[in-house]
Amino acid sequence: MARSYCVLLGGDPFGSLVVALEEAGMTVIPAWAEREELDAREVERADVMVVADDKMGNRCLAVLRSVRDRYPDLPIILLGRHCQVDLAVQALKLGSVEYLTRPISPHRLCDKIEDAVERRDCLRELTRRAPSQV
Amino acid sequence: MKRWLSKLWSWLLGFAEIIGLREDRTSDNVALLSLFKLRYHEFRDLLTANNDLLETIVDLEVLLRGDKMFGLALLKTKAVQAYASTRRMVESLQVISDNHYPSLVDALERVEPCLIDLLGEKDTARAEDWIVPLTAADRTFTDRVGNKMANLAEIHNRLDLPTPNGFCITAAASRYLIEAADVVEVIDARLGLAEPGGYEEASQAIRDAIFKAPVPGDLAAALLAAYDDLGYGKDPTPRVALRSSSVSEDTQASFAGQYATVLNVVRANILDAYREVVASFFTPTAIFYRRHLGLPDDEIDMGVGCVVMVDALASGVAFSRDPVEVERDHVVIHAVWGLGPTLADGKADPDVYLVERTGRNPHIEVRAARKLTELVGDPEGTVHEAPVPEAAQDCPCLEPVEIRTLAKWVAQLEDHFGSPQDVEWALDRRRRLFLLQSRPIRRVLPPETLDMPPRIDKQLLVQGGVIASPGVGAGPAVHMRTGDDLSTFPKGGVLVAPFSSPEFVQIMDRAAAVVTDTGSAIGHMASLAREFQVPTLLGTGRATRLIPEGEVVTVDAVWGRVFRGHAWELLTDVPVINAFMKGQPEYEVLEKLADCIIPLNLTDTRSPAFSPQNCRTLHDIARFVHERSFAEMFGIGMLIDDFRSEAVLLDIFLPIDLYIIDLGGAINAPVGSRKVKRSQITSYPLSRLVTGMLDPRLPRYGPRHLDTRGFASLMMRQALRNPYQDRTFQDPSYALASDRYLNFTARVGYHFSALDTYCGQSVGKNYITFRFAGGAADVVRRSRRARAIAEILEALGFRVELKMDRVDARLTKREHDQIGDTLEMMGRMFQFTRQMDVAMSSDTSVATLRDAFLDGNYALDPHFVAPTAGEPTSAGK
Repeated sequence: MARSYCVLLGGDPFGSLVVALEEAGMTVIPAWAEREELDAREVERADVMVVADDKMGNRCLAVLRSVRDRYPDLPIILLGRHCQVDLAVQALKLGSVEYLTRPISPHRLCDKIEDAVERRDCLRELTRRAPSQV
Repeated sequence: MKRWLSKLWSWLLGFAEIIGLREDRTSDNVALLSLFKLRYHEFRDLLTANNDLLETIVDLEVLLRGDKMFGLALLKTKAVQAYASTRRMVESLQVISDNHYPSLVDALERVEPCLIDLLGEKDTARAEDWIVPLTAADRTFTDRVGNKMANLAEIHNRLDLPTPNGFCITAAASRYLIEAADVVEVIDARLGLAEPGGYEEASQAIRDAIFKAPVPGDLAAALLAAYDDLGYGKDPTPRVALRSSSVSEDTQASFAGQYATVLNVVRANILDAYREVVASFFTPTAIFYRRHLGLPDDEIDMGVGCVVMVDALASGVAFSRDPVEVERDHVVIHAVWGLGPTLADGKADPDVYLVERTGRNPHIEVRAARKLTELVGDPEGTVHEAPVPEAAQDCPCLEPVEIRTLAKWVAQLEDHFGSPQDVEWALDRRRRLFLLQSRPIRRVLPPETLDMPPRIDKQLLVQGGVIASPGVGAGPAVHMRTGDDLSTFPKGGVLVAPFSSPEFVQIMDRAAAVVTDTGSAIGHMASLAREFQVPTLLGTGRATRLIPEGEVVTVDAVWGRVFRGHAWELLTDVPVINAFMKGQPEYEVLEKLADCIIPLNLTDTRSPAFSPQNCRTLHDIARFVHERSFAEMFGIGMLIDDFRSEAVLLDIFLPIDLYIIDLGGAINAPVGSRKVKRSQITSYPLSRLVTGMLDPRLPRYGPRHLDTRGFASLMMRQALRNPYQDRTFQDPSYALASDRYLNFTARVGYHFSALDTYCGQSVGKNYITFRFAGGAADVVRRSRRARAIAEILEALGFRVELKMDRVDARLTKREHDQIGDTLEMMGRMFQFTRQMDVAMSSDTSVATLRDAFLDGNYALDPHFVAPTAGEPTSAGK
């Protein structure tokens, strides 16, 4: 069983994804299915951001950019499909972005989430203890 | 006594810290521990990403054969996957190496434009094109109308052979149907995360949703208008057949029988029949099949053909070659009365006609069957079974002239499509023949021999292994290792090597086949073998021992076998690859895409050209990163100065103080433990290494009996004495470990050894790197010991470099247990070779020591009798 994390779910999350994550003990905050702007408090609460945007359009990229600017260590996981190559490349260049293709098993997704958060925790610990090393 | 002194010393150090004479290291060490964890984390990701990239390359290579259908959507997914994996590797190496390779980012950016130019948003779907008349299409339309209809159009328009009239409803139309019906949400909800077993329910829900939603008005209008255009002359409202024509169907993946065909449809039922065919994209078996092939579920590539029903007197199938014995030069025709489906279902016994393929007036063998029932369509648009009139029951359905015509046509189709064909035909009541579809023959083997390799009357030398590049090749066996002079490899030789290496690229244009003891299908060499189309069998385990040098052998890299001599049966029956995708626009994109991903230009790690500046493809970048990551991880142990505050001491009887730094899952002990027992080690590699070190056969105390026969000198024995006597104020040794990773650094006495290993379930990620240097004796003796160690490691399968008293060795791509066994041997070796340098008085002692170790004679007993092969002591040999 994966540890429970707070997942900011962006894009057009499909129902079973939310259910699967919640069943795995994660707290899910749906992000911008309807809204244009992300709520800063929600982003701060999140351990990881999972983006399931089908078309990975320009708007999605803009949101990712602003998240990356303000929260550089928030891990982002893209669940790609019908991806536009140029936009996907742009998104990956933001750094610390994991790209996974759908369909994906809930088990694998949860593993990836756990991995990403562990990595972030190491990084935070390091920043705190020895900022010069980062 | 010394033990007490050691304890006193560490207590004094601690006291010095308290009174401020010595700096407290604890806080630094906590930060360093985070750094280790982060680097290990990145390294693990790097190995995974490397595997992912190599798998994507294999996928692209399979597409490059050109015998499997694909569209641009698949290429895009593959391109992004490859890029994402490589990018991940570069980012990870940057973290591991403390940003030591900024030019790798440039290398990555050099490849980006190629991917984007090729696959950027150019292929805007011509969404309006829902209908394509049969007369307006040909084979190049596969991506729009599917294989079956594209081929039928080709037959009609390019070969000028008779087919029924009709039109194609494109895959884009089916996607529109699905989207407009809001089925997408159901598909996502049901299949976005579906695991095998849940398909049945998911499939039903999706198909229900499709049937519930009406066909959108504009699509329905276009479809009916196209239908109305079909009617002419005597029959203004013809009955039609709606057939699935998916883009991936009838390619290498047959999808045989997965998708629906609806016969004898009247105008009023066309829209329902259309939905039925589209819905068959989501039958449970079709879903399972696609998952098995790695095709996406949500990329609906289902074209549908609408063709006028032939008012069939008889129908059947024709094979341009016997599907069971393709070698036989016969056309085989099966025929039944009425409509064809009874034949496909295997319900009716058909007439069989065998027609010779040669000569102007070929011989025909007619085997008429008794046909009791036939399938007939009625004007209401349904199909039913009817009895065959008695007079017709035993009559052959076709006249000789019709049989010959049909045989001539299918031979023509085989020529045109480039591979043996499986053709559906019908004969109407005016005795006119029509072709209904043509697709490559899938060999139909009798059930009892299904999946059985052909029997070969030759001595079987090797069986098993991984097929890295399929095919059959024969020639004289040439044994080679990396480092050998590869230019001497003869043209047409069969390379037999202990392990795979990209260095062998140099002989790929000359080799008839390749067999190795170890290696995996996703390695670099496997990739090169496929690029050069050299039949390659890796990981056979024992090929180097079982295949005699110089002997002519046949390598069957289809069934995983090697035979002595020429197995002509295999060498002549090479499967025909129908590269129908070559020449298609998608194939051209694939070739260009492959060019910026696959070619490996960085093959020699020792060459100065092995640098980020020379990386031209994603494969180059990955290779460079992968290679450097070993070196970077290897050095991780060197960062440790005094780490005892954050590590736990392994409480065992060894001449070293071994401290474990847990990176995750290395030990099972309460937080804050200062000591752990051997049984608390949960790190697989560490546990195996320690097991080796503690092998009871390794002498621990006191001198053994002296010998006078000169097998080993007294000095040598001295080295094998009580470990505590060696334990001086030496530096502690550290093991940075996780459940499957170990970085072990030991400075014992005057020598230094370091080992770095990863050992998981995925063969491609596993490796051991090892370095040994130094010693207390003079340089000649030290070098002798280094040579003994080098030779032992070589015998264990390592690739070894020896410089003076320094040994660098690496072992890659072994099974989990093999790595474990090797680590255990290395544990023994550590103990065995300790302080041996002092004793190595002559060059012959190198061989003596090596052989004693490999034989398991750890006590250097002159009366020792080496066990026979296969016993545990020689496991690593």
